[in-house]
Amino acid sequence: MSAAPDTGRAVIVDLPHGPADDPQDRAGLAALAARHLMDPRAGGPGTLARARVWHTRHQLAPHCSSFAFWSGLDDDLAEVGTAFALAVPPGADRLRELVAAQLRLATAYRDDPYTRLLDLLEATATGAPDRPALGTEQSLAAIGPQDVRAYLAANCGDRAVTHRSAGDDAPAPAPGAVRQPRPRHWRGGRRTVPLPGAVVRVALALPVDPPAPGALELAVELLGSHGLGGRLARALRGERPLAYGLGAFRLGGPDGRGTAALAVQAQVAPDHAREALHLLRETVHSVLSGPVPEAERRDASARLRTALLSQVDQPFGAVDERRRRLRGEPELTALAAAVGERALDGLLPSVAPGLTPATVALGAVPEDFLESGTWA
Amino acid sequence: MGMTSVDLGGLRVRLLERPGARTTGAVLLVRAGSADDRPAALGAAHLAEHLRIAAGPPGPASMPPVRGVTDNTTTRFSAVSLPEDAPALAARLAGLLGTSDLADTVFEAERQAVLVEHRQAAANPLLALGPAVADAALPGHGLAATRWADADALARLTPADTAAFTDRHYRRAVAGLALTGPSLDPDRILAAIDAAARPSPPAAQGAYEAYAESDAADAADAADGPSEDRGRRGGHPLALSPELDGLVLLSLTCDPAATDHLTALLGPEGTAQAAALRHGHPVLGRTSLTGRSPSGRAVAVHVLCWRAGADADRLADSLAAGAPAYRAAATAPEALARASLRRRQEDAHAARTPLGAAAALLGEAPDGPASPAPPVRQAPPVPEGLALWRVDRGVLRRHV
Repeated sequence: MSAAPDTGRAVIVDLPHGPADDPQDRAGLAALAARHLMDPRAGGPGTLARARVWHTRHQLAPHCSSFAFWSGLDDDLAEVGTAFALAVPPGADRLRELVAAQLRLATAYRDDPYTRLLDLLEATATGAPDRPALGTEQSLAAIGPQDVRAYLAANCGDRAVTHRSAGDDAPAPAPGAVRQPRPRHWRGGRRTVPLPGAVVRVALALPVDPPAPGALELAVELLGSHGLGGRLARALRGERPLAYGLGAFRLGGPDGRGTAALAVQAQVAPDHAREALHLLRETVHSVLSGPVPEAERRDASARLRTALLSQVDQPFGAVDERRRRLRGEPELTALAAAVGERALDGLLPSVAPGLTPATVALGAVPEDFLESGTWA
Repeated sequence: MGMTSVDLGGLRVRLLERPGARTTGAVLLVRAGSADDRPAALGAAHLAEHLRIAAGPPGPASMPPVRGVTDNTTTRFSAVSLPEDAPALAARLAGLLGTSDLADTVFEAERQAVLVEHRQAAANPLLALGPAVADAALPGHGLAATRWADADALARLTPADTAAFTDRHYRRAVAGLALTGPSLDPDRILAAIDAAARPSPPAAQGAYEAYAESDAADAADAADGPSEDRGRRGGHPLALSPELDGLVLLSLTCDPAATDHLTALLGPEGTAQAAALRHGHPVLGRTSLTGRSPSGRAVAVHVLCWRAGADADRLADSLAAGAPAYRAAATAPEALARASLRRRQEDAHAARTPLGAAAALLGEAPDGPASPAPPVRQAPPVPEGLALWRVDRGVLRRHV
């Protein structure tokens, strides 16, 4: 059998200014600058990527604006590093266009019910939510061309860090100087946001003690990260067909800073919201209290390892792994290995004592919906 | 040595090793889709896809779920696994070529899931209008077949309908299976596939003949109906929401193979999109529909869509008047070179993952025989051409 060529190469350029670094009254500056840099008219990396028809990706982290470029051809992606310094700052008219486009995106995010649920859960779990990374109408209106010019001058030169996919000869940047977000303290509590409609979204997050590597991820998969193949689906789709959609996830950064939580959510009819919350709670506790049979752990581990390693097989997968390593973040291949170990030793997270869970409801329920009842 | 390509009792199997990959990807392609629905059982293809996943041979609980997509002429199943599970993955997909007992609750649950999908598609302008435009541009080729079934048609479906569809179309001879991953063991994988895929037994032939007779009866019934019935089999017209008013669409009928000329004309930097952008209208989306002529010839209609609102007439006029110019511009050497670059990048990106590489092995237009075609009906020859459309008060109209 012949082997398929492992085509493609990728580069990531990290600028050391993310939404958490935006001035208080100019939230959205990092996102706006990124939008400008990727504009094919700006003369920067967006222009180069457009000319070469590269695939691109942009991600914001609290202290980082990360740009990724991928080519399936024999391109010299190294050029992209210098392209950042070539971007011409926008004039007033171009900036107005960028702000309008960013506001449309911010509105789309804000109107998405799932995003709203996650924001509500995060805010309830840890206190006040972060300032919106994309900014608001008011904060974006306060940003002038001089702000973007200053951002580009401060971040697109020597402070930019370039990561290349394995196999390239270019020297790797020295690790370090990677700023991590401040740990968020757990608060917990209950919040209901009444909204019209036929669907109620409920979610629950239980803070857990710092678990062994891979343990929290395995617990998520035992519940069902996409609502399939786990205990949540059996409880809320099989034994009681209540949920239109459901899933488990980790609340808290992958770097392990701050309090991590095991979170679950479901979409149900208003009449089923109370029962669904009780079932979510019972199902989460069934995993955290254990014991979970080894066969079930092994199956969940294999599903999760497949999902993690599939991400490494994506076009940006190799360079993402290299970047994680250099930034001191857990690599997905290492996480997959840890998950395999947890399937064998059975180490799973336990509920953090003394911390209040976060419980939220969004939809056609009364404002005092969560005031009575034991939710966690 | 080239790629491993084996005929397993009619089933086309392709294996390709990718040493650096961390997972194995697999795709099963059945060359039958909604256009193969009998008029009396619209929606059977889509529901059969759901049921084969939900009630088919159980895979290991350690394996991620199989995903399915039904379009007009094909049904595609895909899944990934850890490399060591590649034989089990192959068996899981090959086992979809068969039948199995079905609980009533599973049938009803999947019927509801299909209904939800149909509602979601109806709410998306491009998913709702693309098939309608394609079918209007080239009637009689099943280009809107995925939209033939409405809620009433789905409610009428019985387990016997979907079992008959599966029995007729889920056969080795009209399917292909591809795997890509590291350290593939061809002997083990091929043995697993051969053991899992239903052979084409003589007993099944009887059911097939009975099904064909039903088709003949359906065809006779259809022949008595009005010729306009081509886009609304079973008497269910395609309904367009008034919310779609103000949309402008461009359709291009051609052979299914993607070409640089097509990319130069309709692609993201294509001359047609540029022509609309000059009027301030970025494209809302693009879709491609494939169909089949009564003789089995594959056809495609590509559709671009703009939301022009009150400016719809002006945009449609301009796109109609400017068509000769932007069609000619798409044949310029620079435009074709640019389109070639884009296509090579897109192809490389799509095939970068094991799953994408497996899909690429089967290709968009498999070289195997198509599923048994419905009874031959008279249809116009395939015209190659471009047309513009508008939605006006809930009605799709060709813009003249």
